Amino acid sequence: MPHILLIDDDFNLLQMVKLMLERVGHQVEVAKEGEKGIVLAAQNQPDLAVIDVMMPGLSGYDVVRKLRDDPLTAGIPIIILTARSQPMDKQMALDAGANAFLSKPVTAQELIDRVDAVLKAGVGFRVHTGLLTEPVPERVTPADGVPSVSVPSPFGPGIVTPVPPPAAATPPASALPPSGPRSTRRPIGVEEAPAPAERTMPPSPSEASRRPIGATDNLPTMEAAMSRRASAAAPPGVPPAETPAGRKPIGAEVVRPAAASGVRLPVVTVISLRGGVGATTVAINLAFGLTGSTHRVGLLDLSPTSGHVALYLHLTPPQHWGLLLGQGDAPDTRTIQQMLLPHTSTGITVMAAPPMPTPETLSQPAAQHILRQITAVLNPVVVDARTLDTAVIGSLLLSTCVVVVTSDDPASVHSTGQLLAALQNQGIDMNRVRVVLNHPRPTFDLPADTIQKALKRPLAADLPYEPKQSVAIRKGVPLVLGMPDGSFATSIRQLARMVLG
Amino acid sequence: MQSQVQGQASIRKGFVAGEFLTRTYRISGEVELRGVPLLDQLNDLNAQFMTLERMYVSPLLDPAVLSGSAPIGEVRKDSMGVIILTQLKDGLPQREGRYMGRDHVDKNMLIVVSGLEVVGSLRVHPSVNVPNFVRTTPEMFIPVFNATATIATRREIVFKGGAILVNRNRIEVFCMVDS
Repeated sequence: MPHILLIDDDFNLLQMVKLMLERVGHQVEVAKEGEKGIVLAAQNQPDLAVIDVMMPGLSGYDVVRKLRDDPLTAGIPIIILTARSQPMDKQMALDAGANAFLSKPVTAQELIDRVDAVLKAGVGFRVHTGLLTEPVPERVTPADGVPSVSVPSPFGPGIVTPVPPPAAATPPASALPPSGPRSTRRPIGVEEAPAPAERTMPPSPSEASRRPIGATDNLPTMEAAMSRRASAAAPPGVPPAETPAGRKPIGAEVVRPAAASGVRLPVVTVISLRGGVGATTVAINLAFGLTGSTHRVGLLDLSPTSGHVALYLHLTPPQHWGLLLGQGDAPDTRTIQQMLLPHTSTGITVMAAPPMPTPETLSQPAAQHILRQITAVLNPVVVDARTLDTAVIGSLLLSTCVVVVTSDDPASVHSTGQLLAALQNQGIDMNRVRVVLNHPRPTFDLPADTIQKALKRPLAADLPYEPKQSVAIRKGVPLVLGMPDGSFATSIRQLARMVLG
Repeated sequence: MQSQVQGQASIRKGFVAGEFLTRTYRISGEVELRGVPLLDQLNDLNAQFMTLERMYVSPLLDPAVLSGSAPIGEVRKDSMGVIILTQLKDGLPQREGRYMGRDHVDKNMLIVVSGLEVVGSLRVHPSVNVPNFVRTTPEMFIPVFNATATIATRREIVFKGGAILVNRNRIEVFCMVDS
């Protein structure tokens, strides 16, 4: 019976969450203050801690840092549960050392699913929305008995702190944000001594990027996130089997993705080797179906034969991954970031394929490097793949889920059968493969049952024919956005939920 | 009066959490609804202040850092630039026709308010002239749906929400955006 420690100053919520967890058999202990929670954690060594952020006294971030600092408690997986649910809050929580982030209000099922996932993954992994799992970067993973704690950026870990030039003029004091370590949080009205040495300056007008009003370009953040995570994600991140205190994380015996067959990234590869089955349409709509308040979805068109993602979305990408072909196995991060093109009004970000067919494609390591860089800032990333070349295999090996799109004509089914066999030969975990039947034409050919028998696999989704599909493509508005209540969009959203776990 | 009270019985009760952004601060707190949607409370011109419970304050340029807290605080409504509601249902009247026309369409807009660039959509009847609506509606706060708010001087700081309530009195510029 896992032992869970809840730290929250809201008594009602404390009782509610406690009840939710106790109903599924967890043993729950509660603390109404951060200080008391830290003491209880050290004394009782819970299997998991669920911590609120907004608490009087020590904030949740402070509690997480203190738990990570103490070798006795450094191995406790932590979930942050807070009403502050903006992207910078999640980044702050993860950088402080939390393993998962949940925003209030939370349903019982969401909480239980996340608790179970974190208990299974252990302290060495972060569990994101959709239960996507990734290794914790080394700097917050307790190692060698000495937990490493990053120096907090004055502007918060998720935010780029521009470094002013040495001779930059000091802005007026009123322009300076409040300073000091986070533990100096004080009740409103209590005077705080200034700490000029730790103050930071907002960017001067010359430093501030000049972009059109309303532009959704977040490149500075992307660059920072990429530099933060690139080194951590590059090697397979296998968590330590034993924590510094000798505690074996709960679920250590469970086969973890990273330990079993390499690191998985929050990548969904949509593939079909036969043209005309609507794989690109499915990939685009799936990407939009995955978009939510907490998701910044990326869409990578890996087609070497003039991919159509940009065309379908009415985007005119100034750059594409074809420009990375000469850069070896580890293309330049900045160049990759410049290729990410935001789709205005939806927030989805696209990396386009070369507009002209290319005789060569990215190597497997290069494709995986690009995906690591993209997933550092976008989660999840949908890959549209139309061949089984080295780049696509690189993507497939890293993918959390592979969606194989087929149609109801015999040639598509035959091609799909061969593709599935090829995926197995490439070492792809077939448990991650989902076969989706799409109907790009109004006429029906083979029934779904026949297709399932032929492929010896169940169909994960049956996407209905939508006569307005061609209109949606012409307008550049995917059906998930243009006709959100239609049966096609509904099926895509169901597929998205399945893909997310 | 009696029928009005009964009519409001179905309105969500309890607390609604929101992010109240001024020019300099991010204030997180909970508002007790008392049977009145948050948007109606904000647009009630009889009260200049609104009570927040479990109030936590961050500098807007360092929005993840908690710099102060108070069990109960009062915010002056007309000094708020925008109010971010994580979920659409939070704080908004559920009945279509209030703040959004029947058979509504989404009109994409960019609104610069208190140094924040708010991009999202206004839900109005297709016949509504949106600029006229924004200029002349008597409500102080208008909801912008599926919105993001970006700090104009720190574009990497972005707030998202199911709805962002924009204070018309603080609008600096607004325009329609192609969908």
